[in-house]
Amino acid sequence: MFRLKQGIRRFFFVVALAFFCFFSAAPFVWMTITVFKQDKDLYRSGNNPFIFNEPPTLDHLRLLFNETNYTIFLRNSLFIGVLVVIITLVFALPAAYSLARLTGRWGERAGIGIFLVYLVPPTLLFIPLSRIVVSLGLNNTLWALVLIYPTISIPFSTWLLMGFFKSIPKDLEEAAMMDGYSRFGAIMRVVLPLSLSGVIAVIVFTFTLTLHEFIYALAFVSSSAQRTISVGVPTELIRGDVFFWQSLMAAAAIVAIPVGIIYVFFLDRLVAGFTMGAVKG
Amino acid sequence: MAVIETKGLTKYFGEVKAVDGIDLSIQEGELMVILGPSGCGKTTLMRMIAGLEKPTGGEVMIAGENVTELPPRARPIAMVFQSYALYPHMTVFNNIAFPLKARGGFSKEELKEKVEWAASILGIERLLARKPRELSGGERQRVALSRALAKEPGVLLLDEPLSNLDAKLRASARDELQRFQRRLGITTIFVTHDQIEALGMGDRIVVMSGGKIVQVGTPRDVYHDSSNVFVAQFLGSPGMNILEMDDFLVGFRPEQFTLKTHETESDGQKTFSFSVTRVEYLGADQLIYGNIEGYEREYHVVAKFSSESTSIVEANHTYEFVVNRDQLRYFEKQAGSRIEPRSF
Repeated sequence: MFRLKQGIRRFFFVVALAFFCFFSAAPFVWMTITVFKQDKDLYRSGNNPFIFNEPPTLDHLRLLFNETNYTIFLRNSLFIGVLVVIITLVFALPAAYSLARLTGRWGERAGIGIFLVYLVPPTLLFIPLSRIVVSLGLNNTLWALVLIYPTISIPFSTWLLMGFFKSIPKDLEEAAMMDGYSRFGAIMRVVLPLSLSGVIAVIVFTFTLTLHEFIYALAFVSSSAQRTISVGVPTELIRGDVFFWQSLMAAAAIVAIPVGIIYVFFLDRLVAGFTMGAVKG
Repeated sequence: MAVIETKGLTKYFGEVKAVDGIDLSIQEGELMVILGPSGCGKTTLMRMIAGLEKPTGGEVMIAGENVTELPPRARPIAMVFQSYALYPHMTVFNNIAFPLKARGGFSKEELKEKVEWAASILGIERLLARKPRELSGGERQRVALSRALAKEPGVLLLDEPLSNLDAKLRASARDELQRFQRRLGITTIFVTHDQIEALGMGDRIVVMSGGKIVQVGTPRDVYHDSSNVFVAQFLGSPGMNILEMDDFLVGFRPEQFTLKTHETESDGQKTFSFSVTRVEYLGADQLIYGNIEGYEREYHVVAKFSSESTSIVEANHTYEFVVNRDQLRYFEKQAGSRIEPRSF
């Protein structure tokens, strides 16, 4: 009887697991299949979209890499992403630490204040920000985005890291100071290693933000060679009302699949990161 | 020679005076206990000696050198935190090696040798490969002590190190800690709110209240010759019984309050009429609660008998109880300080 109950429970567990696996993986699988489909296979509405009714082809990948600026967009996005991640960490780590530790009860309020900044939508901010970008002479360059993206990523990251730093007992830092380290040494050797999940969460959050952000990238950069993936791909592969579906899918899958794998790889730490921030922020 | 001296050490937190002009001198090899209720400033005093808290005023001298302005790392001090503060991401070995790495200049072999030496003092060599979360409370405490000893400090500070252990373990830890301190002869400051720990372990005890030192002395001194009504009531379980007379206070210890018998009757005794309200049986001891009658007001007091005692006392009866006159203690009514015997 007990074994039967266990068996039923296990059965439902496996069914649920299979459903969610399918639910999560289906878009990626569909995208990947579409990439290699010939036009006449894709556009015939009677065809099953999940199998190859005609032999697969590499034509659309060739189009993407040879006849568009896709590699340039990739390079631009990577360049912006890495720089923004670095800038964010450089500002958010010390800000979060000092708000968590040094300013007493005002730290909490300032932290909430900083988080509220993150809630102001880009659609409101891009007008004043564009004045700043123009007066700095950065319009139509990647540097405009390197300057603007941290305005979103730093407040959120600061708030997230604050939760982590607060969860680390002060005793540990003081113990490190008694053990012969300066405050900075204690931070590097004790506080940072213990908030690694938070740092990884910040890196992943910031990097994906720069990949998918659309409004600023569209507003501040207009020359094709300076575009990021999120703006460049749709502008080059949607010409009038003609959609180059297979190449669009290829462009998206090439970016989304590695990011997805990284997410899965760090999933436990990320969940820890976001929930901790949520509870203790 | 005094290893640690504080001169007029004072600390304000905003408007609140946490520590108020402490002059203290601790001798080489001594185990000095700082005792007081929570909020009396004892932990703040220790943190100022450690360098974790910056004094508002006054000086800290260690081995004759003024260290008031020096950061913790520049002081020859190690500290064991109440929480033990083991680094959760490091093995026990790396925890103990951490202060040595800070100093630097050790080869890998020397480091290993030193860590093993520090671990062997507390008998935890077999734990070196573990992480703190895999240790029991008692083992964590030993790791914390080993880590503190690894850098061979001149002074060891212990902040309520026994309060996280369960009651049974605490007694054996007290014994072990004291033997270990004697063996190494290391000057130790031990902060606690537990008067049993203080009486049992201290060479001397500093009793603090409201940021000030109330009394300094050996355990025997502070218990039997409390300089102040606060000390008299804080020490002992239960504390001293206090009777409030017109212009002074008189007190006696519960264990000195005994049933009057023909054999014990003498002139050197003060007799009270004691109406018992409740008898509490505590295994080895029994506590007898009741009221002293025959004065303008009733005094609620406690007597402590051994359970082996042949005197049988029951609730809702009145007995004649006595205290030897030389065991009565007299205190000033306002300030609470000790005064000469009075008659009453």
